[in-house]
Amino acid sequence: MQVAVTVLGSDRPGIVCDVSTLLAEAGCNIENVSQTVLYQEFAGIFLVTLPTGVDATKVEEWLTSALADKGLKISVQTVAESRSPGTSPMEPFVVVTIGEDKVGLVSTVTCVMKDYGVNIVNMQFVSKSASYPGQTVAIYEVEVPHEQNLSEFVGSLQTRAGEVGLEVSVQHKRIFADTCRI
Amino acid sequence: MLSEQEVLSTLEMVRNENLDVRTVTLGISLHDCISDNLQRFKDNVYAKILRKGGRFVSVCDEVGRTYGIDVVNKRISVSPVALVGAAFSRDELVEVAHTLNQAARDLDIDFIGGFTALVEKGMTNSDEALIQAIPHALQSTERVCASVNVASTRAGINMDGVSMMGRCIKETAESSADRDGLSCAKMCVFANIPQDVPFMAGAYLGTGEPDAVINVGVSGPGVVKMAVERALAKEPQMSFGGLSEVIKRTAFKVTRVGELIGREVARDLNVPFGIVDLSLAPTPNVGDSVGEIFQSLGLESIGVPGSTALLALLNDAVKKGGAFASSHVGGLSGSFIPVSEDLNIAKAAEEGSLSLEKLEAMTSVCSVGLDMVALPGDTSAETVAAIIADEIALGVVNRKTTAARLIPVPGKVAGDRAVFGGLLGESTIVPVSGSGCSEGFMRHGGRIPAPVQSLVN
Repeated sequence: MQVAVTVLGSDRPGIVCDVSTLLAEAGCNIENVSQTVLYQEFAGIFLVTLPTGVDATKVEEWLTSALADKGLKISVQTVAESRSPGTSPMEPFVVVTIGEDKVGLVSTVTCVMKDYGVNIVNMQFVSKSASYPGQTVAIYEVEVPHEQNLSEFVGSLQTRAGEVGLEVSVQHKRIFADTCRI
Repeated sequence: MLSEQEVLSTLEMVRNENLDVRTVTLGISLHDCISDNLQRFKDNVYAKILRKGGRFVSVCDEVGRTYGIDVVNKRISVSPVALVGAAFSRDELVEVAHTLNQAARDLDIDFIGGFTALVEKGMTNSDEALIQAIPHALQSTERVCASVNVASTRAGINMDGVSMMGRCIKETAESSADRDGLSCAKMCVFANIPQDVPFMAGAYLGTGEPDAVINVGVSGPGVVKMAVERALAKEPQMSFGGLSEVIKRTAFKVTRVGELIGREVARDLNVPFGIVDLSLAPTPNVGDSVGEIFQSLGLESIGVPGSTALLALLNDAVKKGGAFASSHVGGLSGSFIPVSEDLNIAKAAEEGSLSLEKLEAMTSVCSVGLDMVALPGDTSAETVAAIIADEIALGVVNRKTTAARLIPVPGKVAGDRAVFGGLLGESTIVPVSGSGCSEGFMRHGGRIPAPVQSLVN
C-alpha cells in the first residue's frame, strides 16, 4: 500500500532526518519526497510504501505521537490508484500574473483554471521582483488538457484577471526551458 | 520546476525588450511546375503555392499564441524564377510575378521572394529577361521581391550583370517615383547569396533544398541592448571580452526561441525544418534598434570612429551564441544595418555621422551590406553600379555575403527625406561623393576574375 505522509511545521534543520528515520525504523520505504519552505514554514509530502500488515491509520497515529514534541503536524492518506490510460493528455504551460497585491487574486485566477480543468503543478510568488517593483508576480506552472481550447482559456483568464487589475501571460513551458537551459 | 529567474527573464524579453520572431518563411520548390506553356506554368505555380501554404499563416499564428511570441511576418520563398521560368520572355515573366503576387495575397503573406536570377558567372536569356522584367514586375505588384546574385567568391564578379543592375535599379526607382522609389526596397543585388535566407528582399529557395522547408528569422536588437545595459549597470568598466560574453549569451536565448517556433511550425505543417537565421534585424520602432546598441556601448552614434570594430564584436558574438543554440544556423546570421529601417541609424545618417563610405566599411564585418540606403535621384546608373561593385567586391574577396539595396529617390537630393512607410521606415538621402566619376570604369565589361581565395580544394 502506498500512502502520502504530509508534514507541516516551523522550519529547522533535521525535519527530513527525523521523519525519514522513523519511517525507516518501521520498515516503510520512501518512494519520493517533495518539500518546500515558505516564510519559515516547512511543508513536505513523502510518498511511502508501507510494509505488509501496516495501515495508514496506524502510521499516522505512530508518527504523530513520535513527533509531537518536535512541533510537527502529520497527516497520512492512502494514495489513489495511478491514472487510467483513458485520462486525457495534458500540455504544460506557465501562467504569470502581475499586479498590485490585494485580497482575492489567487482565488480569481485559480478558479478560472478550475473551470477549464487546468491543474496547477507548481506555484510561486515573487514579491520583490527587480523587473516589477511594488507589484506581486505569481508564477503558476499548470497542465492544460490537450483538448481544451487554449484561446478560450487564455481569453477568460485575461478577462477575469483584468477585472482585478492583473496582467496575465500564458506560454507553453517549453519556451522557458529551451531559452534558459542547455 | 522553473526558477523565478528563468520565467521572468524570458517574459521580459517578450514584454519589454521587443523579442519576436521576425519572420517564418516557407520555402516552396517550383521545379515540378516547369512548363513551356505560360498559362500552365502560372496555374501550376499558383496551385502549388496554395496547396503547400494553405495553413501556413494560421499555423504560425497558433504556434505564436501557444508560446506567447509574436510571429511578425509570414513569408514565402520560391525557386529562382529565372530558372523555373526559363522558357519565358520579359513580359511573360511579369505575368509570372502577378501570379506570385496573387498567391501571396490569397494566403495573406507579407512578401514572396524568388523573382531571382543567379548570374555570378554569366547570363542566360532567361536571366536577362528576368532582370529586364524587374522594374515592371515590382511596380505592378506589392508583395513580390526580387534578387540577383551577380558574384561569388568561386566565380568572380559579373560586371555586365552589375552594370545591368545599375540600370535596373534606376528604372525601378523611376517606375515608383510617386513613392520615393519604393519598388527598389523590394530588390537586392548580392554576392554569395545564401539559398536559405528567410528575410526579404533576398529570400529565395535554392536548388538542393527540399520540396518545402521552413526557415526562421529571429531578431532581438532590443534584447541585446537591454542585456548590455544591465551588465554595464552592474559593472560600468566591463571589458570587451565580458561584453562579448553578454551578447553571446543573449544571442543564444534569442536563437533558441526562433528555433523552437520554427520547429513547431514545421512539425505542424509536416515539412522539414531548415535553418534559423539569427540576424539582429531592427525595425523603426523605439527600442528595436541596432544603432542603440552602439550607443549603449559608448559610441555617441553609429558611424563614428570605433563603429566598425564594434560591429565586428557584435556580429561575432551573435554568431557564436547562435551557433551554440542551434545546429542549423544559416541565412545571413549577423547584424543588419538598414539605414531607413532603424530609427537610430536613420538619425545618424541625417546628422552626418554615418556616411556612405563608413557604411561600406562596416559592411565588411556585418552580415549584409548597403541596406535601404536612399541616394540622390540624379545618381547615374553607372555610379549606382559602381557602388554595387564596391560592395560586391567586399563579399567576394572576404568570402562572405554582401548585398546592396539602394534606392535612388527620383526628384530628391542629398539631405532630403525619403519616406517608404511601415517597416521600411524613412531616412535622409545620403550624398554620394564622386558621383558621375565612374562612367569610364563601368564601361569595361566581362567578369572580374575569382580571387585566389577561391582556390580552396
